[in-house]
Amino acid sequence: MAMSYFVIGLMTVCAVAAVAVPYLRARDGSEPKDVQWRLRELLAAKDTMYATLKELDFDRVAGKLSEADFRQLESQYRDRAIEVLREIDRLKDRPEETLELDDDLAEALEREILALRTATRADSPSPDSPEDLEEGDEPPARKDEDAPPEPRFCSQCGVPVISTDYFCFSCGARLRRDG
Amino acid sequence: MGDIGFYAIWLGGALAGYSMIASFAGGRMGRPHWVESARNGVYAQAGVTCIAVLCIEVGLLTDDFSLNAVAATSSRSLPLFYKVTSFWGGQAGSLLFWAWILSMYSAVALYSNRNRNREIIPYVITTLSATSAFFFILLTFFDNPFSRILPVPVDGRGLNPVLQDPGMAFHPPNLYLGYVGWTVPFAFAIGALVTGRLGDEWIRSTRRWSLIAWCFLGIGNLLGSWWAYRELGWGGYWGWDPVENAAILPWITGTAFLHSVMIQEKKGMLKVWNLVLVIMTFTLTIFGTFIVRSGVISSVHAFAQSSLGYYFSVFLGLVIVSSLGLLFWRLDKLQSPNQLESMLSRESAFLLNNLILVGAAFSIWWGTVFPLVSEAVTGTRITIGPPFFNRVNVPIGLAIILLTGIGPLIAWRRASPSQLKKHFLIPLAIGFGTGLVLFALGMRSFYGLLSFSLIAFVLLTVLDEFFRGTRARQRLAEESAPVALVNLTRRNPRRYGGYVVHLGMMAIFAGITGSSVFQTQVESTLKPGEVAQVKDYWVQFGRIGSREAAHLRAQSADLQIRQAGREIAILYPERRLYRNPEQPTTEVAIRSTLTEDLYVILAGVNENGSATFRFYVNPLVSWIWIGGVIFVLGALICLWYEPHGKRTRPAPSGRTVETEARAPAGL
Repeated sequence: MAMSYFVIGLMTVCAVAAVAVPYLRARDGSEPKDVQWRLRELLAAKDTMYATLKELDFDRVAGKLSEADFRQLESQYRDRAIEVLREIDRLKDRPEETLELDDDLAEALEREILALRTATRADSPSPDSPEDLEEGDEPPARKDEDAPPEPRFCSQCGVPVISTDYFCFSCGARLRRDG
Repeated sequence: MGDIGFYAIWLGGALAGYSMIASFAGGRMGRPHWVESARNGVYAQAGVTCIAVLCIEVGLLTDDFSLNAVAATSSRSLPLFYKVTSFWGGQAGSLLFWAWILSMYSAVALYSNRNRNREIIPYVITTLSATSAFFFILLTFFDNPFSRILPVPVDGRGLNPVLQDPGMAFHPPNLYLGYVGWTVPFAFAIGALVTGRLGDEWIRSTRRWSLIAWCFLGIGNLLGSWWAYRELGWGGYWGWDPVENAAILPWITGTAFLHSVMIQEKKGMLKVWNLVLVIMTFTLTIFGTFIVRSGVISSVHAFAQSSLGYYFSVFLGLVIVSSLGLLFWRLDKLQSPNQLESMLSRESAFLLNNLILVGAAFSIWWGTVFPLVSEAVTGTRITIGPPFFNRVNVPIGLAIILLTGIGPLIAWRRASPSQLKKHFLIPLAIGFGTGLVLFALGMRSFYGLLSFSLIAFVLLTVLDEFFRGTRARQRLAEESAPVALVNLTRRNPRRYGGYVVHLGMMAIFAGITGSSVFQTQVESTLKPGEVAQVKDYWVQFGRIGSREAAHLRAQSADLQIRQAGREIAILYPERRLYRNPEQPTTEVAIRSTLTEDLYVILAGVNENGSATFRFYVNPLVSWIWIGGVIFVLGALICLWYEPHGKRTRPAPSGRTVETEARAPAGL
């Protein structure tokens, strides 16, 4: 009987302690900000765009998607991906709201934006102009409409990559440009 | 032990109630530490529920018949294994089992989201805790497993004999893991609705939960069929019993959900539809429990009936009204800016698949509740039997098989007719060829021919998919075929795991077609030494033997089975009389091969020494169980999908660093 009371007492103390501790450690100001949510949404959207582009390429190589359809869809999704990256960039440039970004989120963002900027700089003399960026993204290989698709893969991790990309989706390594 | 368990249930209920209120208030008023406290409340609730479960198991193992749940389902003579599993054999125990799984799931879901989804988590906690609280209320006030029985009985009432079977030991836990698992995606959906964070975050966060719940539900259903096949002794594995229907319903809508979320992830469409599907699936899990517990519809599970059905129907009503209310409130935020790019695309095939699956679910649901509706409207109960379900669901099943074949062949977003022709030609030809060959071999059943042709078609399309994928990867990455195949699956486990699940489903469909269209049934009364012919089997009846064990008496017949002049097996079908509770059962004897099962029931033993047998030859039944194994394998491959786990990725400087991937993750 005494044993039962002891266990019951112990359970109660532990349960009460568990729910009470957060009140004792309460801090203010750790509420989530809308900007963080938006960033997460954008990053998720970006991941989806990348996965979609990867899948489009795979469908093309597997012979499911005609070259013309592939080109149209690919440019459509690339445009959307660029829009998303730009919005991420804009949010990142509002320091007063992003001070409380999680470390991993901030680090991920840094990488994305660095990648975007380097890519833009490499291709276009005026990196901030959207027209230049989009035109610059048009791959030279694609100018020849009848050319067979040129399979490419990342030299670092071996994942198939879209022939027009500058960086690997999977590992982030810079890709060589043959064209 | 009883006192500790009794108190643990009270404490669990109090914690669930506290977490529900604190998290909601914390979320509304922007007090993160309230939410944090509610979260800890959920962890504590999981802890105390574990203690309650431990107490009941100790009670069962030590034959403590002063406890309600022990006296109701166990007895001194029950074998040890069934003492352990009789925990969920009775009502009070199974309610506790449900609350236990839910509290553990909730704790794991909240722990894995401790740094993510901060906006919606308060309402996720509220929903999870509200569901827990409902079960704790039932446990505390209506059927407490720890309530004392005075005077203490000398022996318990024992476990229902039909539940004393390995299939029954594993079927309920799997089914419950599936049922309860759907609470987590539902809770995230409610969180998304309350906060208006209606992107695909909640879907990403619960993707693995949905898969796990769906997989367990599938296993639970298959194990249930396996149990029915071996234990109930009527020759089949699925009888469209209301409780079977109630268990398959959430699996069907869950299947639709798993397919349609892909469209939301890729295109941001079908947001309302996905919410409806997850609400529907969760509601159906509660409906399933309601059907079992209420006894409103007569069923093979009549042993589980009770008056709790009333409370379940109230809870069910609350869930439906509140979640649909939230959905309507958020309707304007759920509009999608995107459209389908082409009617000839995988998206539209998925949409069609969704409509058919939900159509199937509706027809099964309607057939299940129709007796109730007819009684309410006309005053007489019209029972709906297997013929209705078969007539409606066979064409639906065939359409689903056809779509399973077509889906993978069509590209996402857009497919061109010429591309399709190229891909469809060979599988279609082989499917058609299969039908012709079977016809030439003498098969005349229209549904049989159609079903096997479609299955052949789907098999070809899936194999073609693996073949093309491997070849494409071989070209892209210059890998050998086996390496390319493994890497192909590893890079896109969800897609290729899904195909493996499809293969498993085709095996199951082949088993269902074979055993339902081509079943042979023979009933005969034999004297010792007499021979009966069943298809191409010759069965010779030897004699009736009897045996006694602590908990039962059994009579068994020995039957020598010959085929093509050769003895292939000796079978011993049994009739058992269990002592506690006193109840007769039949134990079937099955000789199972890949092509067919010989299934023997000892229907009766006569005074003159003769015995009556029912023989069934069920073609291809083994493929249902083999298909089940493939299904699980495929689901495991899908779960392999780890887009958010720890990965090695190079830092911008070229250093290789371990980083936690940034997108929100679920489990």
